[in-house]
Amino acid sequence: MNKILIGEKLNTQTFSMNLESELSQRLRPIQPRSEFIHQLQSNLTNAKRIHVEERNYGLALVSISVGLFFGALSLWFLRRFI
Amino acid sequence: MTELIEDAELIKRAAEGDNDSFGVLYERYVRRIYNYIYYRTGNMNEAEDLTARVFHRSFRHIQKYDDRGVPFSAWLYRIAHNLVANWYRDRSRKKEVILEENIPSKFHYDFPEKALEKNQENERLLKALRRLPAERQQLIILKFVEGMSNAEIGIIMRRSEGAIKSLYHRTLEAVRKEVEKIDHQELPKK
Repeated sequence: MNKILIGEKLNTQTFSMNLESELSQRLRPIQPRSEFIHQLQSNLTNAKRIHVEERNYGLALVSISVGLFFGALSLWFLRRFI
Repeated sequence: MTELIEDAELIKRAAEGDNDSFGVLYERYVRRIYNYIYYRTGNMNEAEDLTARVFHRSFRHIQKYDDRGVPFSAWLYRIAHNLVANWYRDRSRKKEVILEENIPSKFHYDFPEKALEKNQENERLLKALRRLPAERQQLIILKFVEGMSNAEIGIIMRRSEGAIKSLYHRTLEAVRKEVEKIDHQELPKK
């Protein structure tokens, strides 16, 4: 029984080693097209960076609050004195 | 280590708007990213398209790159990994990817029969690889195509060296099973 298990283990190990050598033989770095590499590099290095200005929500909130405050103050003033 | 320091300096300059510094980073990593995508998709056109997207995205977001001991290449691989995942999801090609181009042979003067046999063996192996989960494919590509050590792969995949070693053995076993399945499927045809 033990001999069978050892035999199976050895077979698996041998297969793993064979698989590793097969993978290292077949999976090799490939060279991309040089036109592609140069074209992409040119696109990137000549690209203009676009900065999107974000809205200033704080300032908008302050402006609206001030407007509402003075509107309410004016209404109160008109009702009180006119 | 020198490469890390140089990368950090280049990234800083690129984030400040120096396109030439980004160009140096591009030149340093484009082939590795291309190879990774090529082996994940099995298609040269898609590899070019997705590689371009990886670098356009990294160019736009270089200010957001946060170096916490993780190399720039790991950031690029992460972007590539996400784009490939989106590509599979969008096109529903996960199960079957046809190789448009054959993997180049080391021996350019093979006899046609031998070359054909070699290509069939390549296809069988690549087919088995593409049936694996994404992270196992990534591990095999980084190990065999990029020639990285378990420690280097661990940094990119955000795992310990021991975890990579263990995953590697499980992956080899999974490849073996997939190759056997393919052989069984193809047997009745012969």
